[in-house]
Amino acid sequence: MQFSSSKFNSLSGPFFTLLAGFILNIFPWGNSPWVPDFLLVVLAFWVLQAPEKINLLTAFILGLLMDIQTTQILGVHAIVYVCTCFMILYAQRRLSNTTLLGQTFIMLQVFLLANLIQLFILWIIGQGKEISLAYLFLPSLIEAFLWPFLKRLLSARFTFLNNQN
Amino acid sequence: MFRSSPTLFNHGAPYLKLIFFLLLGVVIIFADFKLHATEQIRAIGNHVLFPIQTLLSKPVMYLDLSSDYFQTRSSIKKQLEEQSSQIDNLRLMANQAEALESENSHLRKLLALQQKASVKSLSAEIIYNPTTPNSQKLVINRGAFDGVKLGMPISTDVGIMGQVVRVFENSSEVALLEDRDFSIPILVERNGLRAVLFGVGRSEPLELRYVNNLADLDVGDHLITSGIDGTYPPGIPVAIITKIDRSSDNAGAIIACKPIAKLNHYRHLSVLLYQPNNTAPTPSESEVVKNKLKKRGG
Repeated sequence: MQFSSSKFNSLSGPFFTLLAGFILNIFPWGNSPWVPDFLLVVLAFWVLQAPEKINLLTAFILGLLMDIQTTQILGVHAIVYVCTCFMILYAQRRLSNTTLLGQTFIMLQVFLLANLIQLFILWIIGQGKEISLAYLFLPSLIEAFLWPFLKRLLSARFTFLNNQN
Repeated sequence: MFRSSPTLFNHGAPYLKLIFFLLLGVVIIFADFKLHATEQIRAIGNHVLFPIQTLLSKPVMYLDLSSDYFQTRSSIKKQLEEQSSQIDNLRLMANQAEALESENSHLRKLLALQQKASVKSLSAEIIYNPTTPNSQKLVINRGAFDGVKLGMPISTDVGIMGQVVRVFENSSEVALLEDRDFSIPILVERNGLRAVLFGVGRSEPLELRYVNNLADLDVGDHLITSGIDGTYPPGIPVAIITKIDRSSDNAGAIIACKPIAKLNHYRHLSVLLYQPNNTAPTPSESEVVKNKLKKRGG
């Protein structure tokens, strides 16, 4: 799990990919449960890949930015992102010991929990009464579906082994 | 306990950090939701995000434009014919309206009523509508620099669409009619019945609450703004009644309404520069009541 430093400065890789995820999130998709949280998937990748660089603080700040972007109550995304990162760190050993398919199933659980936490916070605040359950399942499924592709794509670019040749 | 284990095995999750950030998050949510004390953080964040947002809204706009561009010749011709007939109709109506207006102003003078101020408007463009499960909002490209103020109504050409709920320098957030706990004072156009229309939530019908079970209402009645609260200018269409449930076990009728402005269909809308009026008319006793009181006293 070494990080390549030949072409990229050690922090620019995460920076640019997270920025790309953020831009995908900002893109005016419209308000629909079919829109996944791209940034969350990229963030999950980096927390698993380089936990010493991308940590809960990064997650918190990115969450705050997402709250401002989505006109959500400030702090909701922040808590969701922090919890997601924590869950990944908690399951880190299991995640790095399974196949890509196994990882995807674990990530599905993580994303389901993350979206559940969001709905739970909104429910506590008193704004979650009319939210359809599509907002729980659809984004989670799509995010989990994105995971193997993103993992392949980014691992190929940013891991030590690939940098040998 | 987690610190004591050797570093090789210390892949444990950072419990302390989690608790710290969770507490921080809860504090921020509380500060934002209950105290509304985080506008500064939002303003700073918006400074960072606004250029990217506007930049990213462009491709979508061009996509819309290009789909317009490839319209067929026949459809354009048809549209032209329709429009010319529409213009004729409108001309006729304008003539009538002129006559009505002069008559109306004369009558108003006679009645010594307050002249209804004509409302100026500012055209705005939707930058995006954010993906949130719990609210129906829009972000438009007009802000405090353009003269937008908190609470200003937003409308399309056909009717009220929502209200400005947060203002930044170059953009502002708009809550749509459907948004939860959105309320707007209305008047039934047919008979002048006053009521308040509430938003219930995403893609749910609007609800006319606190109306008597026996109130004179019908499916298809048009609801217009009453202008009573001073936030909305009077006489702008808002919604149409679609369903009335006068069940006997309820205190009031359950009345579902549909907004006249299609909330998810436009790119451009106008901000009505209607100053939220702080000098609400103080209720005064009418002449009839005064006379009665005098009689009683005398």
